Amino acid sequence: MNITRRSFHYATLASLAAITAPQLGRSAAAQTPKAGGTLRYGTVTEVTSLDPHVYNGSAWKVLIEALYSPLVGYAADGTITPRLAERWEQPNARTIIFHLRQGVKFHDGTPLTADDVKFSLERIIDPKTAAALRTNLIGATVEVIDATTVKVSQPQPDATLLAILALPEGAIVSRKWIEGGANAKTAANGTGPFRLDVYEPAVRAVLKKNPAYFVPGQPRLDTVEVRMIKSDDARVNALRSGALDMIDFVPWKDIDVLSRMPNFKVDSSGGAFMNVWFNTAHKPFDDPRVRRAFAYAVDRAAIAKAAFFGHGAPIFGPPTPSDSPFYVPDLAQYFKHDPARARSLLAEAGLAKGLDFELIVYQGLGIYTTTAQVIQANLKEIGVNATIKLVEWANLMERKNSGSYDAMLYGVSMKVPDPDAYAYYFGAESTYWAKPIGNRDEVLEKLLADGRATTVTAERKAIYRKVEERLLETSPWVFVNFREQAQAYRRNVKGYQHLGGALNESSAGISLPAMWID
Amino acid sequence: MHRFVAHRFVSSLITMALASIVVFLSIHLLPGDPVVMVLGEQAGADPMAVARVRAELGLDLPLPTQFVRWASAVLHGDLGHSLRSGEPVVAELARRIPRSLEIIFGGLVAAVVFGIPLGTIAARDRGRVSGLIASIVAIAGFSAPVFVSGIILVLIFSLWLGLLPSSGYVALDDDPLTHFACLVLPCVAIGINFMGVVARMTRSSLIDTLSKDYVRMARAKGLTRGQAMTRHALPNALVPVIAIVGIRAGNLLGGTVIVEALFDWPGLSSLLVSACFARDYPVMQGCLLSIFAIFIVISLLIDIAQSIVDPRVRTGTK
Repeated sequence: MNITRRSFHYATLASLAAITAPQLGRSAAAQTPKAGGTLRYGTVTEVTSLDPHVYNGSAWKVLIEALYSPLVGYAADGTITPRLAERWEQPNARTIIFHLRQGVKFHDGTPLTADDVKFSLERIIDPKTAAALRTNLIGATVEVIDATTVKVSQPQPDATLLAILALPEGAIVSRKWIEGGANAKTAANGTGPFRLDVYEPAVRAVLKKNPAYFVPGQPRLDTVEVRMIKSDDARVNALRSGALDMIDFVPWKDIDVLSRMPNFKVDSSGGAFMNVWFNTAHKPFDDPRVRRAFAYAVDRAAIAKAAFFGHGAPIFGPPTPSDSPFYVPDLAQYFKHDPARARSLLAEAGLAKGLDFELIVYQGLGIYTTTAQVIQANLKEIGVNATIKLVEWANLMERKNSGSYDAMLYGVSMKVPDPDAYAYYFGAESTYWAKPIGNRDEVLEKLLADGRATTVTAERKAIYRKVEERLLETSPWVFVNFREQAQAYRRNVKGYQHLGGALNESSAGISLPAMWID
Repeated sequence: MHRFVAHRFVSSLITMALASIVVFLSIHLLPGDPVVMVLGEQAGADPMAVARVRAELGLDLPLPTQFVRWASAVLHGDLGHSLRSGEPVVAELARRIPRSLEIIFGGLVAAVVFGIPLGTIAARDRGRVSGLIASIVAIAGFSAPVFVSGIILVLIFSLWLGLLPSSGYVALDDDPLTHFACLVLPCVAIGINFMGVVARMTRSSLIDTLSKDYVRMARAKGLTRGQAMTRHALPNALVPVIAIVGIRAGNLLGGTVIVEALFDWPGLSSLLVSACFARDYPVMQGCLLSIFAIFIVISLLIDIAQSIVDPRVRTGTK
């Protein structure tokens, strides 16, 4: 466990160092980037739709980031940088005024206008689109001030608005193209560094350099070939045999194996995290003492070892990575493995004799089943009998959305590098978790609303500390561990920056324009 | 002859119609909601959005109505659109079916090319070391599951020797050489299993034939053992082997589910698997219907071929 924590921190430090001090002569920075070449990328995600507003898995994020551009974007250090907007003002916590870059063209040659921005954001808000960012933007209004100026306003103060619009899901599309009847699921027409050359749903996508990209000198690669390979072994073998240059979602069992090979580099950091979700409407999980008992019973270090081969740092406090400005050190060791404490909490709740329940677990990944088995053994120690029920994805979704479960093992990732991400999971109006089971915690609701209403970081830090305290106290979820997400690539692939936390899924997308083959 | 073909054709059509009902019902009886899968983790839990999309897709209608709509569209050659990509299912199938047929055909060729000589050696050298070795190879072939033999093949030919790609697909017109290089391992993997069956069948049928009077007659006439075998015994011994190859060729279609996943070959089976997990009903229905159709066409062709070779099949006397 110490080793994973440490290596996790090293990874963070290394990426910070890379950003803040390139002059120190990092090996990659010492080399001169080369233009041209092809990157062959293998991904676990079967991307079946390229609609830039409807989330379709990690590789979808990479493709959308390459093909389209949002108004603003993320730099590798998490700061927000200009993309289609060259600058912006925030007159108050409800409004942002964006000034667009001049002379940007879509891949089909049509010039980008302020009206396209309005159309795109309204397309996201339209319930018909089922866009990923819809819940974040409901009620927002978009005003075209002149050909290159757009004003976006929220009905209430919303400190997260800029962070939301910087996600690849906030892609700007061409009104003319969409209204002309294009199928945005199978074709693409963006302003990104690459244009779509070939696409076969769930099989492959070939991207070619966009020579008119608005960032000078980028992209460096001529071609990016994305192959979607669901089988873990096939993906790893394709990298090892030289058929691919880079793969995502390196299976946990292979992280150490590939790192030891001289030709490959493996970058890994905590992204998504694993949790036990309770249905707080079902007895006895409506009692916070029972949920806290579970939080004390689970042996997170054992799970990190057994299920993640050491690549899954345990979470004893809230799921905030230690490099986040909102990280609270004294909450980080809130829970520890303490079966005695767990038993006494159960006794307080009147369950000294223990209980039986069903734990719903996704069957498709070994990490889920192994984690569930360790949890089952841990709970046995405190007299709780967990029956593991393995279900496939569609069944899991149906149960989640209808609230038909007692407890469920579920992996999630923060969608935005902003602590308001908690609202996405625990906010009473969010259909992600709370709404289907009718979970509403008024104390939490108030805190989350306060957190959105101010843009002053110091105030927000104090508020989100209280949010995290409340979440640990009431434990609607047991936070288990970060699952490290790793990318492996050949040594001649340069310029890739692996990011932790909420930007983890976007690492390849953010790095792609600057990547090159040596 | 014409009556026989017509008869088999009509019964194939009836089988197809029954199969389509089974396909449709079994898909709609699965737990898991396609609408939720279309909408995703967040919007899929919003009852209003779910109801709207359900109505859009016509999934709120009674099942018999849905079936009649679907069946009449199918008869007009329209299998609907994929819920995920919005592409016509027919277009997707047209891309995928030839790729799966390539694997099946390649596997069949590998099985016959290796299986018949192996079985012949096993029969001819029965009781000798060479015969024993041939038998062991055949048994090992059909005992090893495809996912085991596939992984061993990748390990040897791709990771150790670096001769062939471990997985993947390249279109024939992009690069024919790589296309066939990618095809070798999946075909051999699926063929090895079937090779065992062909070899065992050849061996037992040949042993049976070798003891027939006409073979002894040929030997008495002065032919060598080898001549008697190749000119008289083998052609007759192969009749039941052909029948077995025909019957089992359809089964290879089942084997492609594993092989396509293992070798990342984007054929019909991998489309079906991914459509199943996503509850993409139109694609699932299209895939299953194609699989039934392929199966039925193969057995129809085999029946006709056999009736040409062996007239007893036609008249029903045996």
